[in-house]
Amino acid sequence: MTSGEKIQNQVFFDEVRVPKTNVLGKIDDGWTVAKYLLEFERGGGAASPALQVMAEEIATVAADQPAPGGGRLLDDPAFARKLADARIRSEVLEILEYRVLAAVAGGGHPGAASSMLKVVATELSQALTELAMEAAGPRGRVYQPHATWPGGPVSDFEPPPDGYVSGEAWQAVAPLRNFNDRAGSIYAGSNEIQRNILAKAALGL
Amino acid sequence: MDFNLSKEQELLRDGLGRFLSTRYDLEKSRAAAKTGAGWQPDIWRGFADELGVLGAALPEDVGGISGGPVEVMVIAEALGYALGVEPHVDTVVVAGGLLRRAGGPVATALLEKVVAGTAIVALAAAESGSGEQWQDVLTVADRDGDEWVLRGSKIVAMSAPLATHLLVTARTSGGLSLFLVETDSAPTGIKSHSYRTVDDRRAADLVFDGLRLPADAQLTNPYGYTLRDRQQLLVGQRHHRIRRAGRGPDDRKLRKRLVDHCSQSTWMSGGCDSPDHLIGRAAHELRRGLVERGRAERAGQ
Repeated sequence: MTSGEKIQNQVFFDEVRVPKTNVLGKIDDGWTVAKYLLEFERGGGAASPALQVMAEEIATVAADQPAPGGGRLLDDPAFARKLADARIRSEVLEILEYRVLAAVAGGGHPGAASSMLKVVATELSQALTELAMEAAGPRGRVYQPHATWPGGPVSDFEPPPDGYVSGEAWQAVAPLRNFNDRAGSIYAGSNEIQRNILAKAALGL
Repeated sequence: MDFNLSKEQELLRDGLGRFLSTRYDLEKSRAAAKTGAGWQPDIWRGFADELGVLGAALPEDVGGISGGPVEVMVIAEALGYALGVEPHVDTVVVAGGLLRRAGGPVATALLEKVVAGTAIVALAAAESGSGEQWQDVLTVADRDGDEWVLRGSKIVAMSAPLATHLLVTARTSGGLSLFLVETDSAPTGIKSHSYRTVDDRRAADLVFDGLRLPADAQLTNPYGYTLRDRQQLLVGQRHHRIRRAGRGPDDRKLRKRLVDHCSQSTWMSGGCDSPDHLIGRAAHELRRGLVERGRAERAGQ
């Protein structure tokens, strides 16, 4: 990851032998199977509660941080507008998730709506991690993965012997989350692919 | 507007570009940034001795070549292309610019060292309560006899771990001042926590706990110039007023005096090339002084 942590992997298969009985669905029909599976990866959960908590936490810390033009960061018009925008989108996401979960609970499957959830949730998460980094101020520039060790030890990094952390834990983790979250619009099917699916399946283009 | 580079600027760009493409090893610089010292002193030496780029935008009287923003742009572009980790912006542009504006013998001597590549200077301005609002300073400097005593803390001072000298903002009884701290002499009363930043530079959180500095470590006072300058200036202003009233000392004498003052002046260095210029500024200062005095008198009533 750009944060230096090893959280995601590229996997290479070089003549790996697998029993024929392990084939899911029909041979040469893998994309249909994969898409069905991915509907649940993308649409089987609810991201909005965690994102709303994140927005709430940002609002809490921003009330104690100085704004670029003086006063509290939370009252800074540019920051407040971005935070309000993220919070509104998180409410919209919540409603979308209820719809999809209701469909699944009724025996259906998420369908193309899961692509919508994936796009909205990951872009919202990227906006929020960016806001958290903004709230962290100058501390958001400090590289200190040892403050939280989210992904285990980091290569090319020696934690300070006294374990010193500049600022608070949320400030230390803000840049790492921000960098790692850039992957959100790529993994689980890139957001471009999701938009293509939506264009075809939902809009009939 | 002509956006083409001048011949000299092209030479600067090509010379630095050639130096970096042959000498700036990406693997070595990445290693220096990640696990090493955070910079490459031999490269910095090359910048100073072989290329002379450290003085590109600094005045000739400190060994520079008196370039400006375009020279800085040309250098920054070349360093950016090479993914340079050396503290060019922090030491030469930020600290160099502050030292140039501060003027005075201490700042000038340090600028000469910056140009020669023997001093790395870093600015320590941000505090945990200030964010990017650098004028919100809680660090204080108290006068104790012939010395200043600094108390307070700074955060994320870029390039501070590499620095031989720090420029520290602190509040005195009169207002905000800039202080020079020599870190290479390992003074007591300063504690530093160094780290890497997310863009692979070095920075530090600093705590000043009774750090003692000599009187001349105060590079600027809240008014931007020293008391001696102000007295000299007032003399100049009086002469100017008298001259304008047509009954003062003759112009030649005044001019000589002003030129002498100009050459010794600390706060006007770089901006004062003719007596007329100085007289103009003196008149401006006088007007400002009168406005301030009027304001103070009104406030006192």
